[in-house]
Amino acid sequence: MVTKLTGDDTGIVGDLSCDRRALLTGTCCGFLLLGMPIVPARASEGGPAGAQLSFFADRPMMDQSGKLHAYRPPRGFRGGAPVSTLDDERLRRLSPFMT
Amino acid sequence: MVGTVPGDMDGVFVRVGGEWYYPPKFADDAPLHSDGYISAFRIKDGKVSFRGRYVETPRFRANLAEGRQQFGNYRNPFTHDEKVQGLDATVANTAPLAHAGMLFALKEDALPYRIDPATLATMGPHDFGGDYKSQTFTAHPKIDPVSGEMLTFGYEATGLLSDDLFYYVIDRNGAVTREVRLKVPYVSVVHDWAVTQDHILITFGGYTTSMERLREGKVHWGWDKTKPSMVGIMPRDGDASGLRWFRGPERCMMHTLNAVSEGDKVTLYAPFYDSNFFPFFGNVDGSPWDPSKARCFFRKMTFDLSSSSDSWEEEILFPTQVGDLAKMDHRFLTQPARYAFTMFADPTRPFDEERAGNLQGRVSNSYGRFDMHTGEVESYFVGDTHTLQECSFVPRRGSTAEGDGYLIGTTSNLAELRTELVIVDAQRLSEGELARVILPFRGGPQVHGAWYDAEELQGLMPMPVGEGVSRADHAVAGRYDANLFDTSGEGQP
Ligand SMILES: [Fe+2]
Repeated sequence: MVTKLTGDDTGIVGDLSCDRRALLTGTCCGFLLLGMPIVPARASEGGPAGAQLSFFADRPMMDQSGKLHAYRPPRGFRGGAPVSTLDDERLRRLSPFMT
Repeated sequence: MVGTVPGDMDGVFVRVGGEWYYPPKFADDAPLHSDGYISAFRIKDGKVSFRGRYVETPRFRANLAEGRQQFGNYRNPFTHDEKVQGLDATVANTAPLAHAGMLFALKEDALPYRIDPATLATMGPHDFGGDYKSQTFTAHPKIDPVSGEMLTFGYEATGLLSDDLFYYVIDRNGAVTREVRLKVPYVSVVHDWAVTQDHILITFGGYTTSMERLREGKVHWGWDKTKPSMVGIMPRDGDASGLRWFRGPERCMMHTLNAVSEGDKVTLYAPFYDSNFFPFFGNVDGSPWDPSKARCFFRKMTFDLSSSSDSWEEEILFPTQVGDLAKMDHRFLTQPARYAFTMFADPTRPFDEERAGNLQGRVSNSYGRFDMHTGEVESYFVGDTHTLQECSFVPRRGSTAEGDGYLIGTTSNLAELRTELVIVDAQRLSEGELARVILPFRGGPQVHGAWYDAEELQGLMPMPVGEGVSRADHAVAGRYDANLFDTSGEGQP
């Protein structure tokens, strides 16, 4: 579900070509992460909190309202890289239909 | 959404696959034993809505109640916990089916599980008013486009390891009109089959089982290369006395495309493997699984019913290795047809190893339209960080020409960590997609999918108000994810 935001609540920031993987590897948007709490202190209390890094339309976005889901980097990578070292047998044992 | 969803598409693309909700009890269990998950893209007026949830089988609910995996190796009750003995252990993780206005999730070891088309909630097993007597139901029933009947079967029909195969005809209203009880020469995976206007063809080979291997705690199937591939042909309106078995060389016969009867000649079109495709169903002679033999080609197999020979002629139609999850314009099933559609790995296309890992050559990066009249292959390339799942054919509304419509299917974007839906003009694959719908998350697993026009299902998922992808609703999130996107088990909850 996408929360409708208005006015100065939000702003697309940083390099618009930045994607999640690039964000994780620190190859773009690096300045966003410097000194910026990814999840603001009061976010868990339910009400609007301070600015936080979020994602919208697959782009990083600085959510000034605290209403969006904060971006939480996954622990570990979730792409093809972890399985790229597997041989054909181990890959097919893991995911015969590659989904 | 990038591009435009064709305005004449009004229906639903349903996908069924397996995902471990709890980790497997044994590390070597088959991934085909993972919990069934059904998801659906509802499409209307150029808009798309998505929903997905686990199929709540008795097994799923029993595990949820205990908070852990209680079922052991693939289709081996000797390895299940005592507490769940006697429960239906199916995972309903293979294919969707729409018939008589109803929606089902299928797996070949149990009855169909009926699904609410609006919510995807599980309603329970369905035995067609008690007239369907087999304990099992194939994941590949065939809808006769001429009569609207469903032809179907179950193997191991009277219980574990039984050599009974029951064949059924179910009319367009969901009533069983015909049952024929058959025997198979050896108990094997009868995963798919084929039908023509005159005959049914029962296809299998290689996989074997026994009470001994089950008592030893092994998965249900092993591969025995000494076993012949088998095709049983019977008149559609015949009985068991009319069933005739043909034998061939070592073949892994998982999926078919089409079959046609012309006089005494029956022709089967099928993307079969040379040998064992599944390494988790190991070779019974103890030899290692050989990936070089797990090669799949479109084959044409011709049976001469006027001959006394019990063999067939086989021809490989295209030199291209393909994925065996192939589709055709299903309006032409049982009739002579020109086009086959399937995914394949095109080695001439790029793959971005930097962003998606070194999977070059091992991802299905293309759909192909294989023209069986000219031998030409026209292809669609999905992207340099992607792998495709099985496509489905969507007839263009009002069209009657074979292949006039769209291909729809999902693709895993291995760099962006998400699922995307692509829609391609089936007659213009090389021109790229008409629309791409980018889910902001992974859209759940798929073995098989199918497109159903809205009028084929009663009580279909309503379209929410809004634009573009207006709903993204995962009803139950997996706790353990052993699939391609997260091998570490450390992903986001
Ligand atoms: Fe299948």
